[in-house]
Amino acid sequence: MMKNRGVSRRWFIGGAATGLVSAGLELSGCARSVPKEAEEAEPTAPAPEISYRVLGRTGLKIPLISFGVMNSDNPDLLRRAFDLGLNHLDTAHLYLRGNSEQVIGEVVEQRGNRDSVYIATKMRFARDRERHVFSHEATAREPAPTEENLFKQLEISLERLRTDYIDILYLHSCYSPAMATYEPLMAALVKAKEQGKARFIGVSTHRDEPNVIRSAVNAGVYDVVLTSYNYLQDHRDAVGDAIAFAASKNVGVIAMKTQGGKRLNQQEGVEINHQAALKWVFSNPHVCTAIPGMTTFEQMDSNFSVMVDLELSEAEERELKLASLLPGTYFCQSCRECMPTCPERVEVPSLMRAYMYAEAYGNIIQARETIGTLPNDRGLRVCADCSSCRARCRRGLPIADRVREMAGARWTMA
Amino acid sequence: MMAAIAACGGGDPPQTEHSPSPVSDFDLPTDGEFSDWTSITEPEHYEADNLWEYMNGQADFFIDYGFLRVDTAEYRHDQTATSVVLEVFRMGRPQEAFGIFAAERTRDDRPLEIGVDAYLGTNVLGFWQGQLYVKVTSFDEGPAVQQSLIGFAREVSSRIPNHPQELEILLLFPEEGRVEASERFISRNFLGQPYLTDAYRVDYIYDDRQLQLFLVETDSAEEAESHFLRLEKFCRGRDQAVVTTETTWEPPTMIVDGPSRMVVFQIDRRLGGAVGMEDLEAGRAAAEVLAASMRARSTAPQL
Repeated sequence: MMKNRGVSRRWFIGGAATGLVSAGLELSGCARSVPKEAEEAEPTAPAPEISYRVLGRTGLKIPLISFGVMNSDNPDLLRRAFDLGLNHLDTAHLYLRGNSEQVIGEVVEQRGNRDSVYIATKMRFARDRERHVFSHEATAREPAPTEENLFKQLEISLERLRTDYIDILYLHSCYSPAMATYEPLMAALVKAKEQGKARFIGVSTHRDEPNVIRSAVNAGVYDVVLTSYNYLQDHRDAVGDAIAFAASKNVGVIAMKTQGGKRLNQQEGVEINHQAALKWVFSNPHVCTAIPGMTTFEQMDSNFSVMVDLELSEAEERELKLASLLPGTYFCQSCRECMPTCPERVEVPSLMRAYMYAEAYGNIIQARETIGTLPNDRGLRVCADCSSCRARCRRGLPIADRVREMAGARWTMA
Repeated sequence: MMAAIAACGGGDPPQTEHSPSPVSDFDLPTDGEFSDWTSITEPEHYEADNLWEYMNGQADFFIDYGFLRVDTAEYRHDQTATSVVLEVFRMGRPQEAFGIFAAERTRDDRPLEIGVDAYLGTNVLGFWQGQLYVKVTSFDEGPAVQQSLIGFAREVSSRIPNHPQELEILLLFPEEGRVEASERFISRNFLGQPYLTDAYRVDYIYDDRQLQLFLVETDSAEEAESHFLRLEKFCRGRDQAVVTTETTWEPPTMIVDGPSRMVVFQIDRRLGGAVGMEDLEAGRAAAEVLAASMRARSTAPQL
């Protein structure tokens, strides 16, 4: 599709980056930088610089920034990622009914760069959401956790991705150690690896991460863990310890949800500094790479530039610390511990959720709907007639301020 | 494939993110409401703040498309024992319901006439209607199961109060060369640009050459012009693109020859053009047809 692909200077730069990896240049260790040749830089763009880390026992050398590919809208972003030298793509079997895998397969085939791209995908199985174990009964959404079903999904993914092997094949979204170490699926993953359909195998988790990581490592069969990790996690130190444990056993660690999915209170005028959040993750030397989703060229360049200077400045560190301590995050955890503190028994969690919809998501329709579902004697009207709010949040959400703000907002009056 | 015509584009002012839009009042069917189907699980629902528990990594994508809420329950057919999961996703606007529907439609699916538009896969059927994207899934496969999915989906569709209404803007795309069921709505970050929202894209094949035509909605001609200039600046600054702006043409057209070939024009409050082509001339010709269609529509009586 693209003319002169092999000779353009920018394309040459991208090719050089992946070439370093495929040539097996010795870059082991953490945060080792590989500056590109300065003379290759274009006047309009600063010389790209990539920092690689080694993914544990896999030996794969991966840029700190990888690409979480969910959105299949724009293949140009994938092409741009390759141009920049980003060579690790993360997706999942079920994303958009396979369209995400399909787009990766098409672009990689067009580029002819399968050998220098690392593709990771994930297989998901039926689970009991209450007990956090796999369910032996298939649901319409998820197949039963059997070897047969793993291979069935895997074959479909291979076809969509237009390849005959996956670089990292994950067990998707393990809620608990029991799921991460479920024997039939571990055995099936090992079999896929023995057959050459998966080069490496792993688990992904964003619940009970410390215990899931430790149990996955102790299982002895996994090469990689993909985990939520960010500066806003209450249990970030425990996750960090588990990551160190994984590293001590030479299991590679990849971070996801690095931005924490939270925006800070508008009243504070603070938005998450995305680059700083990534740097915080990379300040843990045992994290090999992160997989932020990117849907604009700006985001890609911004994330990419983190690799140029990994050091968290004092200002960035202060900003993150402040952000993590601020009580003004939008998100009500729905613990309902505020309920007994309101003498009127108002549905405070619902009001806090409505506030989040309006202020964090800008979704007035949903905010109105949330308020509209509350009975008159448990809703915002009660707050409007109350002169002194006594409701308290143990995490520090400023309930009284938010209720007052909502009661006076135009959207609640409509 | 197209069911009926509605007023979701054309000369009407676009709906903004915050403007109220008609809500599709629809509750999950309970026992006795559907002939031959019995609900076998309690309904569950998820909203934006806990959607990740339901669909993990896909949650952000749905939220980008104006996700409000999903209601889901499982049903079993009384005679065949086929069980299906019904998922009703309520989105903020009809085009967002279409957008998420189209993003999940695959090229292997069979188009169907349920709701405004529908797809049928091996064990899943999806359709959109009003602000709702409805998915019916069965773990079993086969022709009999597909018939069950179709029957169940038709029952659901008939209970949705909104009459199926097509997005009028899709009628602006030329018919010749159009690839069936390739229409997409991209709610944000079209072409990787944060300012390009509410974009529509359709695949075409002309003489074995592939390309995509697109339209981007904005609120005003001034805003469209501003976006045009920003895009031009972006293209000039990157990827060794050769950018030519043909100001003598009507409409003024930007032609980008580089790693991503692109033809872009502006008519009133819309940007239009072609992307994804190897042959720039083919893209320019196709974009001209699109521009002509837009002009014709603007002078024709409103539907």
